[in-house]
Amino acid sequence: MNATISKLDEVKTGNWSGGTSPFKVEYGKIMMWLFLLSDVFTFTGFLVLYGAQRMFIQDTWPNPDVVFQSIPGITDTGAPLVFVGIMTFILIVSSVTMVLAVEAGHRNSKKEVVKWMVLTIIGGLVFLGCQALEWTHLHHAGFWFGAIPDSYQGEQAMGATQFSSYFFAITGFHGFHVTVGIIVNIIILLMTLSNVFERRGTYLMIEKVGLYWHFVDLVWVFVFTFFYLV
Amino acid sequence: MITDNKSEAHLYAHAEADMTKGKIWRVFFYLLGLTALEFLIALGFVETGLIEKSLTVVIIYILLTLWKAFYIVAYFMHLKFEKKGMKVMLAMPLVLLVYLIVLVLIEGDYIGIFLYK
Repeated sequence: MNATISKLDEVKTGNWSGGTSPFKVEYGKIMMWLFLLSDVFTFTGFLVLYGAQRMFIQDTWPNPDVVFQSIPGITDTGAPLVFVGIMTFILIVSSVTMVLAVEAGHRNSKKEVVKWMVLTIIGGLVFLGCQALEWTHLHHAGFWFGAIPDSYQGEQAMGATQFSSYFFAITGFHGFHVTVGIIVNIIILLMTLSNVFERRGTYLMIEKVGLYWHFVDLVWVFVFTFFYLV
Repeated sequence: MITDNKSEAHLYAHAEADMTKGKIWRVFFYLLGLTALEFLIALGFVETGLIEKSLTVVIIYILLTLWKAFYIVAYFMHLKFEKKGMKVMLAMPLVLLVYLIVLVLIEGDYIGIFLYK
């Protein structure tokens, strides 16, 4: 009898029986990951819908190399992929500066965290600026939600209309994420400057916003492939 | 409650210092290289007419994209160094997404054939 009770009372040590954490990640970080997972579903929903429409009207879908062939302010034609290449580069760089901020946070080095966070925010702003330029250019060319240039006629108009609406909806939603990311980054930067993390003794918050910022980069990798390359 | 969170945060704060600066820059150059490769295929081969934009090219683009995504998630988002339970929790739902993508693309293609032919 005694033996049975003491066995029940025994402290469990296994990963999944309450002994140790199976994830070994701080609460806020798990929540950020789960939020990002739900965001993956949102973006997949958009991109899958885009893919289905594109399969559906593949014959009249506009050629991305023709639609995106300008560098705003420099040339209007003949440079496919160049401008979006610059945008992709900027976003990758700002992702790297973000990891460097996280790395500096591990060493509790406030000065470096501030430096890399500022660079990350600048990268995000430049990316948004590029996107604004591209949107403006396409808008002047006649593309908008549900609107297309007159050069697409008849059957061609069907693919072009779908393309136009999906492009603005999906890159717009991505741009919205970038905007939120920049705002959150600025808040975190201000918290760093006012020594909140210094007093807390840990820069874990940088990691959490870092996860979000990398996710924005991750989504862009897919948007870039499916809108500009394929 | 707040104190609890704080002590918990301290517990994990220094558990992962494995992404050194050198490693970060190496991953950056991998990502840059993969992007450059995509541009090479797009501008160097497809645009000049050396190869036609076929299903094979599209599959290569998608594989390169997934490769880049892996680097971002594994190293920048640090998932590679998390515990197995964490990886499984985040990867399992993606199986459903693969299923969704395959189903919806087949369906989209089917309706297209039905309308045009």
